[in-house]
Amino acid sequence: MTAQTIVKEDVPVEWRQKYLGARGINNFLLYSLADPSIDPMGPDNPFIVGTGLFTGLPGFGTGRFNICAISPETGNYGDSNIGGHFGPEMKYAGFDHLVIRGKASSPVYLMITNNEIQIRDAKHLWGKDTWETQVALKKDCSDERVRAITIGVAGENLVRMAQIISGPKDAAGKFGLGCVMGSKNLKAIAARGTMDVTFSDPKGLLSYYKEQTDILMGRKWIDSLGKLGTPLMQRISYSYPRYQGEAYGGKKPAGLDGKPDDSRKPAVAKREQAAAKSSAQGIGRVFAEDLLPYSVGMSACMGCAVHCRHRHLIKDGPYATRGEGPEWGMLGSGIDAKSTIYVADKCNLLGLRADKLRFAQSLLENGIISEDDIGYPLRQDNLEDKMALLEDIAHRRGFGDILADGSFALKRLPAEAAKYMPMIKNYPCNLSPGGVKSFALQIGVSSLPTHIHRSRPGIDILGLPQEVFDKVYGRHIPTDYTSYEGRSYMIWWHEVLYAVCDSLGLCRFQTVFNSPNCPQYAEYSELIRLSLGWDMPVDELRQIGERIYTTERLLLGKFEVGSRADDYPPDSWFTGGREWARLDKDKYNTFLDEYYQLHGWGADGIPTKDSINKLEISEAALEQKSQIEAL
Amino acid sequence: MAKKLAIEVNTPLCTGCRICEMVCSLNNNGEVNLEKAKLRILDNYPESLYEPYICQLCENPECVSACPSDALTQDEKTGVINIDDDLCTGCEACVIDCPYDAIRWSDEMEKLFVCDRCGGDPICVQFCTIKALQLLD
Repeated sequence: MTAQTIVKEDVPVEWRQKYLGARGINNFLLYSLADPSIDPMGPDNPFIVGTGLFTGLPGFGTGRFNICAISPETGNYGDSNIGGHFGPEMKYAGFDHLVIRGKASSPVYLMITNNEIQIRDAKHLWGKDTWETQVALKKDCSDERVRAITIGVAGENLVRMAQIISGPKDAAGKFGLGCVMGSKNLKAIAARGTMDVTFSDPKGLLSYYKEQTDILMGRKWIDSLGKLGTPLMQRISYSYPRYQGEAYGGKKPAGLDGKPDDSRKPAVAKREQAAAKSSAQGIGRVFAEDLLPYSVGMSACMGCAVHCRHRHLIKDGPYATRGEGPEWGMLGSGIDAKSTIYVADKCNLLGLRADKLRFAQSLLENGIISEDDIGYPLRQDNLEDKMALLEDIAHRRGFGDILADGSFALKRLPAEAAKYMPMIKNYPCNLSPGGVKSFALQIGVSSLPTHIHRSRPGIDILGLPQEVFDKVYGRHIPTDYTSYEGRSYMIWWHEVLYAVCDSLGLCRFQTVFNSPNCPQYAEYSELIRLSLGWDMPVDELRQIGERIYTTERLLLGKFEVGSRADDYPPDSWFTGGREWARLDKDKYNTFLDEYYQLHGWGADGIPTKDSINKLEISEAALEQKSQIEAL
Repeated sequence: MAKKLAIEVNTPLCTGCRICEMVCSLNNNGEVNLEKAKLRILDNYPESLYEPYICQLCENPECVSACPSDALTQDEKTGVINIDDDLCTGCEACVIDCPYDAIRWSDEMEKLFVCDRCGGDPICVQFCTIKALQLLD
């Protein structure tokens, strides 16, 4: 960006065969180029955008692509899996991976068209919100099919947790990737492509795609997801065991095998009624069903038959808005369903996450800061207060400027503030383990710090029959979600599968995530055969998944957060909460031992030389680094 | 004329997934290129309204009447519009007159595109699981 030069190279087939694409190749590139001395907000930070092997093509939810860089939020590695239409358009224009380095002297955007990339002036876009920017880009190009990823004012102002937005609501939400764009004076990347994508066996591919789409759409999980969107996970994920726990009176009943217990339904219902009552009063938990009155239909990423996002419309009143979503992750940000939708849209426009609101409220409630520090009250039931703080964060005004530093805000706050921002690998973790051991354990070890979906074994809490578990995992793993037994294998298994799924550019909700029957290796292998003519059997795909995950572990290691000492959740997970939901330190340590062995890493959590050699990681990375440096 | 292959478009249902365009190009050309799809999904960004545009097999089709070079004809049995690429001059008179914006000229491809119903079992309808596109009996 500094020298305004563009170099194009073919993606070597060997990279494809080792890392597939998207997350796999992106993180391999980042591993090759990243250096702990690089300032995440400096010009040398490589900002990498990559499509998957199937992004925009026949598959299972193929709107997905990946963005990664050194994260301004953590100072180490961050990536984000994002959906929508930009990734496919970039592929149709003939580009699969962008590595962007340097800093433009004034705001610019990249325009990608068939086999061509231009750096264009973006002064007229600077200051615009993410929707205005995309409308302007379509107008600039006189083409409504132009798709873009863009930052809002949060990214422009180098807010460390700034998002990248595409379309109405697709977001590269975590790790401050929007801040990296802002630091390069890169307002947006737009793409429009009309090139042919050819296949080894087009007729066979079309026929297989139809057959698999029909099977997929017959799954109960997919049906629910298509009706309720991702907010449905609010009820079936963390809420479920929490309500169960409350229903037990805080004790795990004997004989619990993970199945819902009908005898406790009245207690669960009572809790939900209480939540509904407080919701009617203005404050309360929002569930997927609460959002339905504002839905005017569903929408989808490119290439997705499941359509898991609502198109919402609130016609009038203080929360008048229209857009798409909100997603599950936004459900705690408003005060009721309407305001949650409103906050989600405003965050999308600003290109900002809302998660620092809760942190600020904790600081206030516990006397770490006062209303004077913020300049206004931060009432839990007042949306104006929340919106004022979000705007202040996005514009780095007043106390918002401190919060805009994300985890680095702790350097500017009283020492006691750290208690309210527990962290794993420098990333804030305000999650509650909720008693589901696999969820807690995977957050501790995730190669993407604290990320709840990196290996989430969502099927763990569905109360599935034992034989289903045995079949999915190919070994005995108890279905009791409070058990530690077999959880190391389960987490490793999902880590490797999701690494492959992400790198193919497929949707994680359409693999073994919350349904045991969704497509996985065998289906991926067949898609690869029909599309590319490659024979890539299941075992080879697993090996690729392991290579991708171990490369990410090495990437963390470069930043000194990739060893055993970095894999422990906050102390409160071992000491706080109800006894049955608490983590046991000895059992956690046993889990780590088993988990490292499965990956072929040492007891210190660091990949062994033997594993690295077997996976052929190091040499390839060195070659790559010298190749890119030469460019 | 009986419209044996009439497709009903239910616009509010369309999710904008564009699988119809993808499989249309794959089925007709053996490759994915949404520019070569014979139907079109328009996206009213940021309104989140997706609109399928596909030939409605009009009786007395205006595209056929408008064509000065007799490149367009209508199949009497099915109502499908046939294009003779050799006769088409690219004048776009048909595009201008089509009341459904369902026939499209591509400058890049130098070619007219209109839905031919895939010989009776349209691939777009087969893949439209939300039924925004349905073949009428």
